[in-house]
Amino acid sequence: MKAPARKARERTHPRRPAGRTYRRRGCFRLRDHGIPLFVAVYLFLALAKPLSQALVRPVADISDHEIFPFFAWTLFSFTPEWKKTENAVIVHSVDGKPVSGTRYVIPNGSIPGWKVLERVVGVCRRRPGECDAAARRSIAPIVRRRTGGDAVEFSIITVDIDLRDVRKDVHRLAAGEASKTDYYRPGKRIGRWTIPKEGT
Amino acid sequence: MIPLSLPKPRLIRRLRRFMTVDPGPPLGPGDFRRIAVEVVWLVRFFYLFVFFLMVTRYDLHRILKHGDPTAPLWPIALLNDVLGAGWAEAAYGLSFMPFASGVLGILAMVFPGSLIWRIGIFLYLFITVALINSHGSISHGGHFLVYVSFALLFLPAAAGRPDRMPRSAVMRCIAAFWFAQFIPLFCYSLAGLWKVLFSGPELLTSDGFVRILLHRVMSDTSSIPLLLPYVVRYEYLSQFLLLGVVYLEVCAVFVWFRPHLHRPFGVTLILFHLGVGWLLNIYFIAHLVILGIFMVFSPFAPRRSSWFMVAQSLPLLGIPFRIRATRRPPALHVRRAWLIYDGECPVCKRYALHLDVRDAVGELVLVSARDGGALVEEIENLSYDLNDGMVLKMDGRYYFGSEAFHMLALLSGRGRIFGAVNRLLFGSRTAARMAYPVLVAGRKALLRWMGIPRIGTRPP
Repeated sequence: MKAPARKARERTHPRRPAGRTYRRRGCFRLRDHGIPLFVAVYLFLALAKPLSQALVRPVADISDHEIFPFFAWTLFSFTPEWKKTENAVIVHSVDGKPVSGTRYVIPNGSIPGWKVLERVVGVCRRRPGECDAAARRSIAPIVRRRTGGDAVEFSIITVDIDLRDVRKDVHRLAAGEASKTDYYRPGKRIGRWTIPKEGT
Repeated sequence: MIPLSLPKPRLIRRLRRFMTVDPGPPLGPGDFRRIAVEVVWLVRFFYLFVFFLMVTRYDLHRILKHGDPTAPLWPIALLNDVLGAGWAEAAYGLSFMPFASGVLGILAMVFPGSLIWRIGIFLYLFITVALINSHGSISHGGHFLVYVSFALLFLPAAAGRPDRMPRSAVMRCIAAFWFAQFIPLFCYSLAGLWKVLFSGPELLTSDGFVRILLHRVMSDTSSIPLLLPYVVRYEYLSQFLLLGVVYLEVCAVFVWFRPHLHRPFGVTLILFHLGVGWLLNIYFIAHLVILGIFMVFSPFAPRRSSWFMVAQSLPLLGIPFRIRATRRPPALHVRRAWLIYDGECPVCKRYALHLDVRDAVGELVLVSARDGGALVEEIENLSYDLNDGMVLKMDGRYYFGSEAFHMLALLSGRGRIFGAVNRLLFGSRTAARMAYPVLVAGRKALLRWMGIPRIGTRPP
């Protein structure tokens, strides 16, 4: 039995043997149309960041401005300077008791925490009015997870790092004789917050 | 009403032919069937890997319990709205989803021709990879799985019976696999391009890579990577490695067109990922396996290759090797060769009659494409459009367009002026490639001016 739907898309070539059918020119082919179309759509969606911000979520949201699964693959594209400024979250007191030394909650080796902090600082710089809400919504739960349910006072600060010092001591770092936070030089404070005790 | 039609693929096909640098013989109809059979087996292996990865690797409980408070990616946000916020914990917490993926993976492996299982795997991967990249988590290794499973949706239903596939299914099978190869390579090229654009002159400094590595360590690694203390000591070595990575990434998309590079680039990219693991503590397990399946075991990779052929295929770095190779005449002596050309084009006719290839070929049979016949039909079945170029059939191989033009130049005898000039001008493959589209355009303009229709459009 012939397949009528398939036949409708095909035609017999005038110069080709009777009984054989050929696909019509101009019909969709993955090789010729699908892949170029995919490239165009991919580039558009991966690179149109402002569009994604406007279409997908409110601008102040602390989240990936990525239209999944289209990803721009810009990781490790930037070469930093030897002296650079990073952001950090430090805890001042837990349950009203001051913390000895400088206790860093972020960076702590966790990529998501670092990523969230970068985004919150971005909001604080661009829209200071939304900084407080962003920090309470996104940073406070991370701090809470590290410190328990007690009342906590924390700050977001900038830290200066000289990568030359890190390079000089990299073997000590690898051996565990030095800590990464030894190379942080606390800079200016971006904001200070207090989280009340859980259940109050 | 404006009729909606797809663009003509001729330009894209020409681009593909121009980008392809294949020093080996062109593929024949038997090769396509062999490739399609291999494609189906590789696809089966991919689904087996998906099953293994999903059941064993992703620690979704950690993400669900300790996810940082950022908004999820849109598929998860959408599902949260539709099913309620607890759906993910319920589904993944009870191991329902890994079990479902296991069943789907096995079914897709056993029945690669069945679209429903492939759609199931794609949707499962889509949601799971969106979840593992939501709530502040990063796991870009999963993106490749989504892309490849999307490309494999285009496999034909006949893929379930690879030994009995009709020709159209063979070609669709190959196209789907080619697409699956393309997406990861395209992503590597994007990564390389951004490195060139964003780092710019920093790539040429001696210490750029050392700074990138140290910055990464200070920002977000929990421990010092294995090789880092040794690599940061040698600036020039590390920068050389970075330049090598940039070359590898930028050129990845060219590799797609060059089968001789599939295996070497696949292996090199696997080594690159292992290096990334030892230098940055980032391990891309999915990438390693996908590169293994789609590049190292690429069915397009020639069975016989040599270092010289690989060197010729390299983007940019291969140019000197190509120049050396193209000036060398092929060492063969065949009894008969066939040139299929446009017999009504006066210039083509003069060119064909003046060819003198007696030194290398016993007899050159000139076949006018307008006369039809078994040979013309055979050529058309191989998807060559004779309006776009002539075809030389020699020693069981087919040379199309600029390749045929270049080969005829190499075979031309030195004794006559026409042969010597032909060899001098188009003995270089690059020169032949540059000149041939211009000559074809000229031929088309001449035929239009003379009122001669295109080949295959005249009624019998």
